[in-house]
Amino acid sequence: MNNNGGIPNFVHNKDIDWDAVRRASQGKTIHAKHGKLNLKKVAITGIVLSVLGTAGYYLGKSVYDRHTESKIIDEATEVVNDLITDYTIRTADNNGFYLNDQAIGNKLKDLLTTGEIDEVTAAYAVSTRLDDAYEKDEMNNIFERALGVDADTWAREHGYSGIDDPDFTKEAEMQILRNYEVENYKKEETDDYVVETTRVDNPEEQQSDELNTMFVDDNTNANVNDNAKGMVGR
Amino acid sequence: MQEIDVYSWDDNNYILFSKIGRYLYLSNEKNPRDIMIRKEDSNDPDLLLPLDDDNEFNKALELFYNNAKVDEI
Repeated sequence: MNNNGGIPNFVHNKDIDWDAVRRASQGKTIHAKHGKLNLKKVAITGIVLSVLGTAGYYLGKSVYDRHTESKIIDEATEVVNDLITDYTIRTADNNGFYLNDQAIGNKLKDLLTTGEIDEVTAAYAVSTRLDDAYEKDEMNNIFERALGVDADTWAREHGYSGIDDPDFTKEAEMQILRNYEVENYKKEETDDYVVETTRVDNPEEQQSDELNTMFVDDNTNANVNDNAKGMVGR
Repeated sequence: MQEIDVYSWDDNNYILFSKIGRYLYLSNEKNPRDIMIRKEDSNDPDLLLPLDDDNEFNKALELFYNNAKVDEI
């Protein structure tokens, strides 16, 4: 027991070495002796509060990453989700809905032809949106119209056991994230190119920028000189 | 005072401050900064199984972060 009657000192955020906690949690199997101990309730509350506070801090990055990734995937699949929503039609008796899978399949084929979406993203979006057993026929109809074969055949042709294969879901998500990174890289390159081109197309602007820089430099020098003068005068 | 579960090895007592599913959240009685998350063995209560990898560690920590209820302690 501690000298303070079994009340552990409260832990501050910076005091927990989470890398050490992670390592200790993953080590070898520990052969311990399980027993009971009497402890003041406040001691346990203190530990829980401390760990809660620091865990949130430690998890911040990974939770943020997951949130960002899920947002990127949502954006990549939005066009398919919108299609499915747009072509979910109320039945004549107003008691239910049905999917116009033919229209969705045709529109999706158009998107694939124009390159607005790639095959893997389309297959992922349709199969994750229509993943209930009662939606399977509609999902297969969309696959057949847009991709030429039913969902499981398409998945097998791409090396998976079926459209429900967790490896497909995982790898499709990774591809969507990779696509996003590539697009972002291309965009950055294009932005740099546009800036350079603008400068070459507008030599006066470039000259003006250079003059401004010189002016700022001159002023800076002047200030430095003024300061220097001031210092001399002090 | 409250009776709590404790795991002892190498002259240390680790207090079970939370248990969620199979995950055991332990803190050294003498040094509360010394924390670890382990899995229980359903056949042997004296065995503390390690987490598989960093992903499982993050998962177990998130589970604690999202589910620990201070008012129920």
